[in-house]
Amino acid sequence: MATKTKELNIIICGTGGQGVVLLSELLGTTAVRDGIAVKGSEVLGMAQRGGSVFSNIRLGGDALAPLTPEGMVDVIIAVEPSEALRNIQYLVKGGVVVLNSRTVLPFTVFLGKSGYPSPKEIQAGLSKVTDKIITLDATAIAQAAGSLQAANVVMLGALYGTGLMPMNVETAKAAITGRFKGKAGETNIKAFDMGYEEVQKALKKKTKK
Amino acid sequence: MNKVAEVTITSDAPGVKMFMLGNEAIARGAMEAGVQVVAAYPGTPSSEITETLVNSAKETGMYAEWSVNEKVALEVAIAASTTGLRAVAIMKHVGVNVAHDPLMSASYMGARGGLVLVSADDPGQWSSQNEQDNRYIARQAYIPVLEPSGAQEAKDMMADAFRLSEEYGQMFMLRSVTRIGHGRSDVVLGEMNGEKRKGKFVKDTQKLVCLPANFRINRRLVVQRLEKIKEGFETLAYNRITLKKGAKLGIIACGISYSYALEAVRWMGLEEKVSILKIGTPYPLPVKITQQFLKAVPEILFVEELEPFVEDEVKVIAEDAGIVVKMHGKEDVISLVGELGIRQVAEALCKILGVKPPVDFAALDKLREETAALLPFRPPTVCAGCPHRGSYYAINVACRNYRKETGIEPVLSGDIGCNALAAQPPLITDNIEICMGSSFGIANGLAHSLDVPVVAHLGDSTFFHSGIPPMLNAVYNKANITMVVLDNMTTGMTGFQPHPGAPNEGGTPVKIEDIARAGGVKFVEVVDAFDLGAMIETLGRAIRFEGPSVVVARRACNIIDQREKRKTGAKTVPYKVDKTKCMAGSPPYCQATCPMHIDIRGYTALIKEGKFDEALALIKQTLPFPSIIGRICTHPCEAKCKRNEVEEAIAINALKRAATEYGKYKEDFTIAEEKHEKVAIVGGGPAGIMAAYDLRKAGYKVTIFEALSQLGGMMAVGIPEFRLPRAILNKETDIIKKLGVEIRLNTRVGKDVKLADLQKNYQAVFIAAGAHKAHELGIENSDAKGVMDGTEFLYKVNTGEKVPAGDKVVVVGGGNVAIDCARTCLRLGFKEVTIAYRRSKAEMPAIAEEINEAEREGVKLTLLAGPNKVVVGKGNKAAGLECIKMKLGEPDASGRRRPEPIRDSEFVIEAGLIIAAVGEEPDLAFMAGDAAATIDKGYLKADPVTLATSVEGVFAGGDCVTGAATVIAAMAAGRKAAKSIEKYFKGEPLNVGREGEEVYESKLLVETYGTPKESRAPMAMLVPEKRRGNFNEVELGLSREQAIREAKRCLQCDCKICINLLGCPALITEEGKVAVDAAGCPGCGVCAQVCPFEAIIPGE
Repeated sequence: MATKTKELNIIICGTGGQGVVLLSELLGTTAVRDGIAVKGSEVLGMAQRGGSVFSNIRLGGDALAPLTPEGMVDVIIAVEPSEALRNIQYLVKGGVVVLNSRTVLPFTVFLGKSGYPSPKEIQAGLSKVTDKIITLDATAIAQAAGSLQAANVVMLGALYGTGLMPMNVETAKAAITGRFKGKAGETNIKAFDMGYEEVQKALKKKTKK
Repeated sequence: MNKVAEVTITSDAPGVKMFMLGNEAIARGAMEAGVQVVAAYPGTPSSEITETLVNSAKETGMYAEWSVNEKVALEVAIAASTTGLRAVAIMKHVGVNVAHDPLMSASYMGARGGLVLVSADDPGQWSSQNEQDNRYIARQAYIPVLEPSGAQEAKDMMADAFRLSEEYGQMFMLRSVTRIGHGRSDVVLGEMNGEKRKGKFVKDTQKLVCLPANFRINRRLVVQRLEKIKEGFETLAYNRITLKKGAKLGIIACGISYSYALEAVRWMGLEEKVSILKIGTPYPLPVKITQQFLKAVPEILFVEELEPFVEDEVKVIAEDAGIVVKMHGKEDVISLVGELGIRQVAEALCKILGVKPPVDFAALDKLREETAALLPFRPPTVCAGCPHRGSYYAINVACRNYRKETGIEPVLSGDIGCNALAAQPPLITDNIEICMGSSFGIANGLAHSLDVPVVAHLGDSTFFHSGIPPMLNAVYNKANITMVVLDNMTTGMTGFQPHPGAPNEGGTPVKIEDIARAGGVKFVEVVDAFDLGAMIETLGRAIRFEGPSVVVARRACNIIDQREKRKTGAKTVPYKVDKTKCMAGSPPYCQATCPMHIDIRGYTALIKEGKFDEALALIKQTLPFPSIIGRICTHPCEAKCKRNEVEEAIAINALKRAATEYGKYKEDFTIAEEKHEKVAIVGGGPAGIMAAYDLRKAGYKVTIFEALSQLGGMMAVGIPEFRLPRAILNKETDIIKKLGVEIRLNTRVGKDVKLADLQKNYQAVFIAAGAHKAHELGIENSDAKGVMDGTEFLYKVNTGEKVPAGDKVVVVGGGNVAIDCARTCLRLGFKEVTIAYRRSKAEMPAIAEEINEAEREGVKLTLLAGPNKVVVGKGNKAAGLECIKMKLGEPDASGRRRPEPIRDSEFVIEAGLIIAAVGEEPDLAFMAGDAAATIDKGYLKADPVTLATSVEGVFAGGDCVTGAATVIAAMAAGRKAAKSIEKYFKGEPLNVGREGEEVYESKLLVETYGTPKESRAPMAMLVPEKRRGNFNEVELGLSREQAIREAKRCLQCDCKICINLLGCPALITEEGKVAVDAAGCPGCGVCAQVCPFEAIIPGE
């Protein structure tokens, strides 16, 4: 029997190849296992070829449609920082943003056909909507956990670290080990835990202040 | 935790929930229905349906194929149905166009085994070339349509579609949309139909043979079937009404829009005020349930993806039944264009009900707009390591070579899939593109309409899909086109589906070149897409070949290649950049040739952005006196400007002046730590003040000894005020005063103070005395009254001394001094001013713009006129200048053609004043004592690198060393001397670390070919009539807007040839140099072949 929880709308965003879609698969699988209703969708375009990727996951409540309307998303998880800014209009006032500080510059920047916002500009842009911004270097954490590729799972851990998720952390980890076998599984669990801890630490610091 | 871990998409586990992609749900529905034959051609957003079925085929015992195209796929499914098997054909919306032919008639044929066509429409055109609504195709073909509202219903409908198809004996369509197929949801699994049928072909000519006589009857039958289906749909649960008592508004929502409608209503708190009719079968639309709903509400909103299909059907039903209801939809409150969502429905409700939106959408849009300006542009591009990048580059180069040779530009015809990415800069090899295979078809037509070569390209999968017929057409109808097949041995864009030419288990891949040869193409060659040289050469020949040619550029898709490498453990070796060889960031042509090496590229880039403050700050880093230089520089940079190859140089100097006029800058008067050494500088001209500035900034005590009554040297007493207003000059020369440089005016070294004393009292002396002594005219009677030299004349005017007045004056010479004298004379009231010059205008050393202005002001140029003698009148007074006509002979030592007199061609120019401006030299009388040894043939001799003279502690630079030259060169000498003197004080070797100080040639290789022409910003000028009788500044500068526009003309010359031509995502820049992102580089080596400096090399 499905447990009815309060609706929680999440956007995971990044660029092609960062594993955004994998995160929504892990979230969805976890939700189903914990009996929480889940809907979602990806906005890809031809993203595999380097474009922006955006995935919407809608947990619990009476969510029916695959995409949350603007101004109604509770959490934005950005595996690439400027992509958080790209989706800022979706965030509800005072919503939570978790940012990987590591940038991915598109070729247009090196061609001189595009700019790229400074960390300050990204923060300023986001703070028009919320002051709940958590930044971590997920790429460095992933590297420390044993694989650069695991930055997305660090961000997943970070998402759980916010304490907003209705699903159990253990179910989330089971979904990860279900997806990654052997050594890769261990690395990703480590990445998840490190992301989780990082956000918990950041939140404690904030409450102390 | 629910027990779901073991369940997979093929499990017979009814009631279990799974998290699925919508397309997986559709596939699961087909499996639950016991589908036995699956045929499809890939295309977003449909591909994952077939992927899932193909991957499950073995396990479930069905047959699933990737067909060569959609037409064949549908025919495969139709055939299976005729044998009694359940069959499905799957394609994206535009794929249905390809299958349209069998679709139209097979519908008349009916179905035996359940037959379903899945059409994946793409509202929003996320990955498609149009927004067609295939419900129209279904209606035209009498094919009933099921349209799901979510993933769960998509699965259920898919399973039901087979049952219904068999029940009514008719082909059905499942209309999916992107948001269904690429939506994700928990889905409750149904029961798997384990029935395995055996196909049996039953001969039935009437039903199966599509002859006119048979199909006239079949048409009647299909119409009857549809009537029955319409009736049956009345009670189908996919259509249902939710009535709210007293509701004034009803929503009719079809497919996915139903979920949007429900959520929008809830969001706005209208649950009890709005009734809803959910439509799951848009065609045929059940009439009774529709009428029932129409009678229940006075006002209706339609929501459906793309066209107003249900909306129009309902309007007809209402009309027929005489029901009057107010209707809203695509005509008023919902856009016909793009994808719907909860927001669009909410906004429509707001418009109808006149209420405020649940959130402030306008504010959110504004936020999005503001943010968009900051965001990086991330268009999709071909992957790093994609063989197509090599092919596109080669096509571009081959076409450019052809254009350079013939002046004719080939037209490039592009295609779908990864090939569509070739439309993006910098790999633009796509001038026209319509649909699958159209590149070859369009090329056929272009060839018969144009007299230029046509180069068409498509991918291997597309070649098999629809490239062969137009290729044969080109042979048959003699279209002279070049067809390039980019063969990466897979269907790349949609997820690596196989095709007839791709490696397959147990079969032999069909070779594209074999098909081309068999088809009669006489030029067929296969090249490696990574071998750029071979590609360019082959394409060059193909383009020039008379008749159709085919070039197959073969190389495995990088993604597949990487997968294989991971499997086999083969290593990927990324490339790296040898930073010592990389020319990125190296000085452009203008900067290399500027004696001061000002960062021109840098400041134009800032002006382009309107950042005048930053531009001025950047200029000031190198040049403390930009307002002066921005007016009077001879700008050798402009002569070297690459833009000259396109039309005209950038107005570099005018931009510098613009930076000083529109930029704010706070002068920095801080100096480094005070040092005890003292420096004497002889001469306060540009070399002297520049040296003084640098030395004082470095903390040394500096004294300038200036013979004249003001600072500036020739800038003050040579250059007239109409070119350099004195206020500007003084403002900038004042900088050195404020820095604490001691200035002794009216102090002539050699007369008022001895050089030997300076040598004694100062630790270093810099001689920058300039060249103020005029060359003598050296002709008969040049000592006559009324003959004076140019520097003396200008000096007198500039210092307010009286000069002879009169009506007619002749100035001898072709340099800047001559022009300045002539223009000054006009301002003093001379009526007839003539310049006599012995060569032609082209050889005049003066700045071209100044010569032009002199002419505009009324100065008469008498060219090829060699002065012979001064004609003298009464009292040894000059009355005119006798000249002899010259012609130009062979070039002399200066490289200019030597003037030679023409015999007996003497003529006289009448003039009471003759000004000789034939060159200047230094006055070195003051160089007494040991310092005299430094004089060599009238000039001071100094080391060209260090400016040290043979006398210890004495340095010399500027005009007194080089002869009369330019202000900017003199300033560069001043800087050089300052650097040497500092080294001298520190006991460092003077000649070490002096690279790049001299003028040099840029090493860049910038290609300007094909740059669109844009004219240079004209300098605003005082009109010539207003220049007489005053010394007002003539050049008025550029306006702010003009400057920005002019700065945009700058080509920003730099070497990023690799990045600019390839746009590879793995090529990045680090600290101004190109670098390879090792994590993203699969090591294809294409960039290494493109770099002309061999700076990109394989890593370890």
